Amino acid sequence: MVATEGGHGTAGQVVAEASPGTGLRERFRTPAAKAGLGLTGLFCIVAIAADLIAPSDPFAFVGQAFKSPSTDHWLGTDDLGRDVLSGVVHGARTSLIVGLVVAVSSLIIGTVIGAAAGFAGGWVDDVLMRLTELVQVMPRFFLALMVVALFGPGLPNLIAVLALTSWELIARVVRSAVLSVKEADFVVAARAVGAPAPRLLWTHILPNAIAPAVALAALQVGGAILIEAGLSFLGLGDPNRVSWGYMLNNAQPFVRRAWWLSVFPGAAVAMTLLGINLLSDALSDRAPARPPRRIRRRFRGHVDGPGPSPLAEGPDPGLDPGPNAGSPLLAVEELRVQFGTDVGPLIAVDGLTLTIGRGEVLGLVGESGCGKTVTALAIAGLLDETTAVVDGRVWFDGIDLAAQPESAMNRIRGSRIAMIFQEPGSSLDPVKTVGHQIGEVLRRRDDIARGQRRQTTIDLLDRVGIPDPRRVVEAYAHQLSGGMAQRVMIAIALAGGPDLLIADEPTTALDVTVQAQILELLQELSETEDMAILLITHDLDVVSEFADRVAVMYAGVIVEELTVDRLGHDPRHPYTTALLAARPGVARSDERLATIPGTVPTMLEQPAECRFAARCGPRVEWELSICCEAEPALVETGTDHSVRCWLHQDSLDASDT
Amino acid sequence: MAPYIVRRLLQAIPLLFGASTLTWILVHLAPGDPIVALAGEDGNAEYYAMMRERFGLDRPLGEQLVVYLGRLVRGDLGFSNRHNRPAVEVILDQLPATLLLMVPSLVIAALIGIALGAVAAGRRHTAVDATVRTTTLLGHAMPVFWLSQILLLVFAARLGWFPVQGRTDARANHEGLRAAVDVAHHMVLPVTALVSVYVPPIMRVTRASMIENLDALYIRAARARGVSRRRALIGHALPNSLLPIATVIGAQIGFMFAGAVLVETVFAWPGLGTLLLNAMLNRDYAIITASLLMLATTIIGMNLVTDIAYSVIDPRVRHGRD
Amino acid sequence: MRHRWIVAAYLAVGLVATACGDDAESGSTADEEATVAETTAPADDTTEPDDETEQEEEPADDVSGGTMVVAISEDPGHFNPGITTGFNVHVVTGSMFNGLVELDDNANPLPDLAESWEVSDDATTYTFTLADGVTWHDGEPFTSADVKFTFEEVLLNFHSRTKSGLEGALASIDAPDDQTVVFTFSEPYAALLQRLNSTEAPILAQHIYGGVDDVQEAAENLTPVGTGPFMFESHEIDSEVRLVRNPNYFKDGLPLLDEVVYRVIPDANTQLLALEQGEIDYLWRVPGAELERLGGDDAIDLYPVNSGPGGGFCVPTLTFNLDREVFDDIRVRQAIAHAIDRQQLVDQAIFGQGRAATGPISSEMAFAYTDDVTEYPRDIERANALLDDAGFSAEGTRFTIDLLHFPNFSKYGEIIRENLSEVGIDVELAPLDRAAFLPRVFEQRDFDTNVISYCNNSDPSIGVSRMYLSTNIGNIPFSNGAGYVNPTIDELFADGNRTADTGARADIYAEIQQILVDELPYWWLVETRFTVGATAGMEGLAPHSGHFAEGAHFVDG
Repeated sequence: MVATEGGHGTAGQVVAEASPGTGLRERFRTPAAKAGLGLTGLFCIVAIAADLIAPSDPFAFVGQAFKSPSTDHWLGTDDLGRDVLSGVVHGARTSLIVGLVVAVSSLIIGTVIGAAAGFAGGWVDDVLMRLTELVQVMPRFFLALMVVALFGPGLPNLIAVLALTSWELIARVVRSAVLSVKEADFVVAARAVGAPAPRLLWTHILPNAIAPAVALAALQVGGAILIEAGLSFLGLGDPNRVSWGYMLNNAQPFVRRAWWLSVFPGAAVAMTLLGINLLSDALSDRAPARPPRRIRRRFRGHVDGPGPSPLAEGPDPGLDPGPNAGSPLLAVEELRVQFGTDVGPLIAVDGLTLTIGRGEVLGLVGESGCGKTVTALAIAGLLDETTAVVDGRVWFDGIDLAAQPESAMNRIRGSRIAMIFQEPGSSLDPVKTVGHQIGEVLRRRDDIARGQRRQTTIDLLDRVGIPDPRRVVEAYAHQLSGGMAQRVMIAIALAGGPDLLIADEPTTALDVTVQAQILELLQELSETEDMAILLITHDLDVVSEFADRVAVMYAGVIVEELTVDRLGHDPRHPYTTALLAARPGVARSDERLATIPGTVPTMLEQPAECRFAARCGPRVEWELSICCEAEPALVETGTDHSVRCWLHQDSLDASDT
Repeated sequence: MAPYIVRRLLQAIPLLFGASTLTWILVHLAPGDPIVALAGEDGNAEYYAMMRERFGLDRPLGEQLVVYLGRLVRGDLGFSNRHNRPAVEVILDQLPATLLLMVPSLVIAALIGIALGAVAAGRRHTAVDATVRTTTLLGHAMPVFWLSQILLLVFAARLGWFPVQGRTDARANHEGLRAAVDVAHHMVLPVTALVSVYVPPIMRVTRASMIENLDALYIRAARARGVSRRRALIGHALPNSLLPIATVIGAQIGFMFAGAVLVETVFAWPGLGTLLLNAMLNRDYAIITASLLMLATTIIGMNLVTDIAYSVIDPRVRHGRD
Repeated sequence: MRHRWIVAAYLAVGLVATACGDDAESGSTADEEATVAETTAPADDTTEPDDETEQEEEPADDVSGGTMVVAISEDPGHFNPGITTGFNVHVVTGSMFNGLVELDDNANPLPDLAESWEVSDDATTYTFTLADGVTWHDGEPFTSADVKFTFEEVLLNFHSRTKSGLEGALASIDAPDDQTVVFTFSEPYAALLQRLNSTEAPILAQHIYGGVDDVQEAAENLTPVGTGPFMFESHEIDSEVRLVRNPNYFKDGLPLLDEVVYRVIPDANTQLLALEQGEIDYLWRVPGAELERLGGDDAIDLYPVNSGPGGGFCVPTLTFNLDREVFDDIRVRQAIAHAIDRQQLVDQAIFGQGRAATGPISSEMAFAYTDDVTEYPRDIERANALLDDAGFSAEGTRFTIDLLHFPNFSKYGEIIRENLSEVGIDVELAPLDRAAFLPRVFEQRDFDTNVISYCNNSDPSIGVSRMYLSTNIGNIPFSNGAGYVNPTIDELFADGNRTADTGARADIYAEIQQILVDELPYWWLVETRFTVGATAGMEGLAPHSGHFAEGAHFVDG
């Protein structure tokens, strides 16, 4: 619950991981889930307390026939003068019994068969899986229809046939769960020390497999209710128990004479199924929580209000740095990104400011979770508006990106700002060819005729050092190695002829030898194409070798910004020095940060103290109290060098941040 | 590809045998036999004994089963005495009507379901999403026969827009285009009912799958190269979601037939559902076993088609199998 | 004598088809019940067709042809009426085939293929003179050889009712010339004419079936060639059967319709909707629940009838399985009779289409009926007292019985269950489809009670005695399900069969009714009627008959 950002975390994951409430309570927060819970709960309560709720015996002739709903009989009476409300209420009980028995027995059968097949393997697995397939190819409704039609309508028959035919999916799920757990280290280890198989199954394997099986079994309840109703409609219901299907069937001849006879039981079926489905949706929905509306509104208003209208032709002249050669290509001002969570807005980027000049390579460095990727996505305008609130300004070549409409942003992305990512293999669409994906960029370029696109594509691939570009044009992601895929990604980036390339940990997932090749390629391209690069990494070696300047980021802010030269001989912020010190000299990224104790804090509110204070060696050593009382500002301490640290504040009153 | 298909087909054979045997046993263990339905009432004991002998029903069940399986091996699915024709012929006669109902319903449902699923996924957790989900869930939760009756009462009886029953107008002898229009007119209500049943599972799997894909890195990468949200949704997330959608459609084929039975009954649509139902009531063993065998074959076939579709849609699978 | 004939013929109406589907609410007619099995009463007189009952009136000039669409619940399957008594087959083939005689709506025999007939005094020889110029639909001439062939090769082998009814009694069928057929019996056989209409003994073509190896599986069964008013045109399974006018029909001026289309509509609600929307013209059973509403609909004519292709004079009856210990004590059976609210059955199960029954013979069968029998009015106190006396404690549930019924008789079951719960008897309903029901009741005898609609049909000797004869217990559908054994009753029914005089027979049947109602092997619930619905303005319909469409026509305006 501490990381604000995975190495390649999307905004969604950030929130999901950061939400302390992700669990059952979290899932039931949406209105749909609440409705599902409510309807299902109501159904269960009515079913259990049927005797207390129902005004009369559902079979008793308690009133005149065909009385429409009134205060005497809230839902009216049927053709024999039976109380419809009592029928609906007792029908809930029948439905619950059918549903539960079917669900539980299919759960038991499915779990036993799936576990046996998965654990035993070999011919047992073969036989059981054939059996499972057999059940799968026997259509359930028809089997039920057949058994009930041939052996006589009765809930026991129906329940038996449903239970015997609905375990198939559960068995498959349990089996595959067992298979995957079976090879897990702890199980292998337990087996190695001679733990008996049944106990292993019971203590290690089943607990892991049971959750998805239960979810599937729960859905059987709804299915059973529908099948029961369907069979009753065909006149194959059990007349000895009131069920909704029975009532619907009974209502058939009177559809036009007494609407209430079919409407109420029909509505009961519909509502119950709706409830069960909503509930199961809520249980299985992996989607993240959305930000509370309250926060979103506040921040959106702030962003939209004072900024230039999205339709404005150009940037605000007052603030426009102008497209002259001296101004930076990219200027980020006071960038702030928050994600809504259960416990309040989570601050991912907190007033970040940086600039990149044309053709410049800026390294943005920091640990996992410091906000680097979120910054990159915010610059490119790729954060999901429904979960993230972005504030601040991003000027790109004189254009206020925040004020651009989506269509304009789409034009800018790809043609002027390009991005590459940490996992190149996953960043390529698995079902589209490389050529198609490069083509998506080329298509929008007016200067390349349709007929030239293929050649251009091949040239681009050639340009990024792909050996057999003609073949790779037709290739899919799964056919490329990591390094090749990253080269393809770079080719895609180049296709638009961008001024700025945002490279988010472009080499982290690659082999060491390939890393160097890719970085060299990037450096070369930066020079030949006059392309600025925002190189996001946690690797100071990479930065010092390839970047012109370095911005060190910590907990959503820049803590030090300096040239690569100065990084070598005059790093000032304790975090920067700690990062440098943690460098073992050889590249094994995950080992080195271990030497800085602690992790990047999760910020739910703006801190009053220095963000690094808790982990800061010098502070502890010198027992500085101010570090824990106020946050320092980023101040320029020299040419091209700014630091955010109390140790380097020129005036102590600059605590206005 | 071809060897793979052949292997799959070979694997299906024992499965089909198992399914037929199971069905046969079930049908023959059930009380009652087809004699009274077939021949009529008020015969004497001698008459019924003669009829049982005539149809081989006086033999031990094991022997009858052996005879049945022996014929099955030779591709003989039995003779329907009720229809006085080989069961296969009868079923093949009725199949087009059911397909006429199911295929358009499935196509329309797939279009609607995928569109709604995509919209819901694109706007997940918004009011649009909630509305789409609840509406389709309601469609799923409503017993299809009930919905069918309501459609009949409203659109056929009250408004008179559509005919009540059948596949054609019994009085008109249309030909050519007008006949097609007539059939289409009769199809509207049953197809509507079926679509409402087919859409929810398709919508749900589309939405879930799209959401999963929308979170995928390649979508972010596509957006980063200027692909619009819409195009990313339709051009990238959707193709990647088609596989699970195809799987769901394939796996639901039995369920879809079930829906067809109920709809056919209400709208008096002459298809397999009606045939099977009557076969059960009349203990027309040949039709029952042959229909279920055919259903099982269809399900296996759909699974195979889905798998083949996988390899068409998904290059990973395609290359993996070469 | 003539009076007796009219009655007998009237009663024969019930013979027209297999199942008397007077089910109260569902339109599925094939499912329910029983008709007749017995040999008919011997008669010793010769009878001519009644002069008063003539053929259809000549139609008016404003008659147009047109298409009549008839709803049926189930596909016929095939079109050989000679090998089955199935309603679904006969309801269609009735329009394509003829019998030797036809029955009018009072069940008097009318000429059909037989122009006239003579019956010997001892009722052992029937001589039929066949109509002139009758041709099969394919143009071949119809002759007496066809009749002989049909009986000998088809009906007496495969038509369950004709086989069981005639096989033992019939000595020979001769065709001395093309126009003459002679039936000779070894003992008096009075009711032959009731077994000769188009449903009971349809005449098939020898030139079609003569060379067929296996009549039951013949391809010819799917392309029927008859002599009837309509000719087979096309058949789509579960969809429709299309018949067209037979231009060479041997009855002058008939038929009037151009086409008869049978539409398969399984669902009763849909059937009615289709009638109301004008998609069909004719519905065999209007659901009782809708009668009240339809009464005010000018577009639909309702024909209340007590018989038809589904059977006639039907009495839904509660059978006590007398093998079960609980029913040993007659007080238990009496208590149940007192506990059941038959008026409620009349009102809510059959929607007023009928009346409470009094005993084994329907009041519609006037000559044999008596109301001078013991009555068991609804009386809960008396029922409770009887059960107390029988030793069943009133504490909680006295005992539990099952009640088997066809699925569309569930309303009877529900009402009886609730009625009996008032006297402490628990009833478990067991709806079973027909195929499962019959062996369970008649073969295994594994039931406590059941409800079956038994149709009296044409004569007590046909539709009534089968339920009570001790010789009729066993694996025969719709036989003596109670397992009732009473030599007196056996003897009385035999007397009834042997007796020719109507008055004497009435006395015998009165005695039978009194004994049976006292002994209560069954409890007779209600006498049912049903209602045919047709497009307003149709004339010439004969809802009681297999030839219901022969004279039907639309009237303009």
